[in-house]
Amino acid sequence: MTGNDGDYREGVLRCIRCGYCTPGCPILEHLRWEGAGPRGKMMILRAMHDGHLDAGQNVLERLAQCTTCGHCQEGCVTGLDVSSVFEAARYDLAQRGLLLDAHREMGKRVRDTNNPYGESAGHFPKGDDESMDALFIGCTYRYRRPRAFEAIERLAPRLGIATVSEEVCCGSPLLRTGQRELACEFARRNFEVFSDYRKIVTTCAGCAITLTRDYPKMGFEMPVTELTGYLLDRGDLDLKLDEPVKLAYHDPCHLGRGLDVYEEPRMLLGSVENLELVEMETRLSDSTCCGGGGGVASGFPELSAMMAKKRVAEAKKTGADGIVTSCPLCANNLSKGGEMKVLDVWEVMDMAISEND
Amino acid sequence: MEDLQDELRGIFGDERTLTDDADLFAYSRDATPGEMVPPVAVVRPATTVEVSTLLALCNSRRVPVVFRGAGSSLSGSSTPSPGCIVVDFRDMNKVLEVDKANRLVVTQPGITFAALNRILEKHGLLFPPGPSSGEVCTIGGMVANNASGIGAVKYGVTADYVQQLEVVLADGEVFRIGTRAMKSSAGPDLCQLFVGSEGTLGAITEVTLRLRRLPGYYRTMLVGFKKSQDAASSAISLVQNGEPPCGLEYMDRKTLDLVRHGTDLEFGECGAVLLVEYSGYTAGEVKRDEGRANDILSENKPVFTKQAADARERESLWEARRAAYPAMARACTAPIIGDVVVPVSEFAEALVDFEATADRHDVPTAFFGHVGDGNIHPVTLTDGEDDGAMRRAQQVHGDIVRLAQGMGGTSTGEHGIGTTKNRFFAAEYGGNMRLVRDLKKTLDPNGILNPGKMEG
Repeated sequence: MTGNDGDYREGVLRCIRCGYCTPGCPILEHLRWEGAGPRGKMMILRAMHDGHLDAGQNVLERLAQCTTCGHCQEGCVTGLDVSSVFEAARYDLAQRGLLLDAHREMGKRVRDTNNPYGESAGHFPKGDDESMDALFIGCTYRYRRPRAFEAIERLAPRLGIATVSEEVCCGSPLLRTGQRELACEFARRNFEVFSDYRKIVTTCAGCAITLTRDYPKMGFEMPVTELTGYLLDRGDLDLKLDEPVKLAYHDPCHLGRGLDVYEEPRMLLGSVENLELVEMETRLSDSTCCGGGGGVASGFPELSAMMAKKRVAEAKKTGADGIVTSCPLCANNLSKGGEMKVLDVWEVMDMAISEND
Repeated sequence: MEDLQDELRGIFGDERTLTDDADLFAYSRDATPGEMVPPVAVVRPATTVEVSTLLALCNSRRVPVVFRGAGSSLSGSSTPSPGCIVVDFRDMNKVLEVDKANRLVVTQPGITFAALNRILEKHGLLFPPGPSSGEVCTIGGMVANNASGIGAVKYGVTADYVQQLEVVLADGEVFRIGTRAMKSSAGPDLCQLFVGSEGTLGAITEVTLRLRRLPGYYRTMLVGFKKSQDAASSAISLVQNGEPPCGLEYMDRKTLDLVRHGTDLEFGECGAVLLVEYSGYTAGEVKRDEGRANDILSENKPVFTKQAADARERESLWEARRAAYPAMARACTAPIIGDVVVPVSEFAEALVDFEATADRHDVPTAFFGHVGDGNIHPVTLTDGEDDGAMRRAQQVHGDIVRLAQGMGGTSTGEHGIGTTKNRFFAAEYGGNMRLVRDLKKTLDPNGILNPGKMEG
C-alpha cells in the first residue's frame, strides 16, 4: 500500500467514500468542514488526480491539517493506511514547491542544526559505553523536556544502556510534512552510528514509529524496541513513588495505533507502587490525539492548542492529579492544554526507581 | 455568483460558509461511485431560521439546494446537483429532549444513529432500525431515505418511528407536522410525505422519534447450510412461523470467502449461512424463541450451528456480518451494491434467478442481506478501470431490479432512489409517477430541492 515509499494515488483510487473513517477524526471535530476530515481530503486528492483541481495553497493547507493520528485507519473499510496516503501526498506537493512556511523553516532548522527546534547541540547525556543496547533519545526530550532529559541523564548509566552523541533528528517531522529526501539523509546518518548496536531503544513515540516503520522503507533496517517494553523485559526494576498520585494515561497515537503498543506502558506504570493509573474515556485504539503531531503544532498552533485543551479536559474528568504519557511530543503539547500536570515515562521512572536499582 | 456568496455569508458568517475550490471538492460526491460535482458553496446552519432564510433566498434566485447529513448515501441522494448549494447539517446535532415517559426523543437531524443510541441507552431506550453505517449516518439522512438495516425484520424501518417533523419547504416556510400522540387518525400523516423523500420536498430540521425499550437479552446463532436454497427456505420459515428474530441475515459462499480472508473465521463447507438473533426482556423469552427457531432450522438440515455463548461471541458473529461489505471493498476497486427487496415468500426463487443473472453476464457477484424482510444486497465485484466489466455489472443490477419488480418487489429497500435508481423509479411507480410529480410541483414549484434525484 502507499506510504512514504510510494505514491498517494493508489490509495486515493481505493477510497470508496463510505465515511467510516470520519468518526473520531479530531481535526474534523474541531474544524467541522468535510475537507478537514480524512474522507474530504481523499476527495480533494481525487479531484487533483482526475485533473479537476490544481495543487495550490488551499490544497496544501487542507492536507497539512492532519496530525497523522491514524484514528481514521481504525474505521477504514478498505484497509487504507490513510495517514501514509496523506504523507505521500504532502511529499508530492513538496516536490512542486508547496510547503507551509512553518514546515519549510522547520526543515531548514533540521538541516542547519540537526534538530527541528534550531537549538545548538549542547550537552549530551553519557550512558554505559560498554552496552550493546543504545538509547535513541529524540530531539523533543533533548530540547523541550528538560526535566525528562535530566532523568535520562541520571538513568541511562544506571540502566546500563548506551547513548550515542552523534544522534540526529530521526526525520519524523520531515516525513510527516513531505520532506522525504531530507529525512532520508538524516535516516542514513542515524543508521551509520546506530546500526552496530544489538538493540535501539526509542523513548519518543514519533521516533519509535519512524525508526520501526519508516526507516526500513528507506532501506535502513535496525533492531528497534520501545522503552516501556524494554524496561518491562528487564524485570528487575523496583518502582515506587514517595507519595501516592493518580495519573491518567494518554496513549500516544504513533505508539498505540501506530505500533500497537498499548499494554506495555500500562503494565510498566501500573507496576509503580503509589501510582494509580486511570483511563480516560477515549483510550487504546480510540484514544483522542493530543494535537501535537503531523506538523499541525507548527503549522496550525491554534488548532493544535484546541486539541490539547480538549484532551486535558478529558483527563480532568477522571479526577486524576495529572497526565502521564510515553511521548515527549504529546507531553509537550498537552502541557499547553490547561492547568494539569503532565509527566512522561522518564520522569515517572526517575521518581520511582530506587537508589538500589 | 459573488453577490450570492456574500448573501450566504450574511446568513451564516464567514466561519460557516465555504466557497474555496478545494473545500468544495470535498463535498463533490457522496458514497456513490460517479462523477465529481462540486457545489458552488457549502453552508453549515446552526438553526432552523438559518435554513429557512437560505431556502427563501435560493427559491427567489432559483438556486438548487442539496441537503447533506453524513454523505453516506449509496444511491447518490446527497451528490451535489450542478450549480447547487450544499447544506451540511453537521452542526445541527443536538438531542433536544428525551421523553422517557412517552418513549420519545426529539433531535436535530445532524446527530448520527450511533451517537443517538448511546444517549438513549442511558435511559433504557432504543431507536432500532440498525443500518450498518450507523456510526456515520445521521438521523436526518435516515428519515430522508427511510433507512433501515439489520433490525428491520422485527422492529421495522425509520418510517415506523417518525412521530413529528419540523420541515422547511422550498419557499422557506417552516411547518411542524405529526403528533406526539401514539396514534392519530386526524387527517393524513404528513410526516410520511417527507420520510423517504430524499430532500426533494423539504429540509428536515427536527425529528421526533418513537422509541423502544432496550432489550436486555439476546440469543444469537450462526447456522450454515449446504445449499443457499436451504438457507433461503429456512429464513422464510422462520419469518412465517413464530416471533420474528431481531436479526436475520444471509451471507452466500462468496461473501463468506471474502469475510474469512485474512481472519481466523471458519465456515466449514457450507454454501450459505444465516445469522439469527432473538432479543427480549427476559432470558426465558429469548430461550423459547431460539428453541423454536432451532426446530424450524433443523428441517433443512444445517451443516453446523454455532450458538454465541456470551456477549463477546455474539459481538464476533456480528462483526463477521458487518465485515461483509468492507471485505468486498477490499477485494475489488469498484464494488456496486444493489438493494432489492422481494416479498419474503419469493426469496428462495428470487435468489436462484439473481444468481443466474450474475452468471449469465459473467460478473462475479456476492449476495448478502436482510433476508428476514426479503432485502438482498447483490454486490458486483468489479474493477472500476474495466469499462466492459462495469457495463456488465450495471446490466446485472438492472436485470436483478427488473426481476424483483416483476415479483412484486422493489428496486430499493433502504438505500433510496437518488440518481442510481432513477431509471427504475418510473417503472416501479407506473401511473403513480403523476402523483409524485404533482406533489413535487406543489411543494417545490421552482424545482430547487435536490434536482435530478427521484425524477424517474
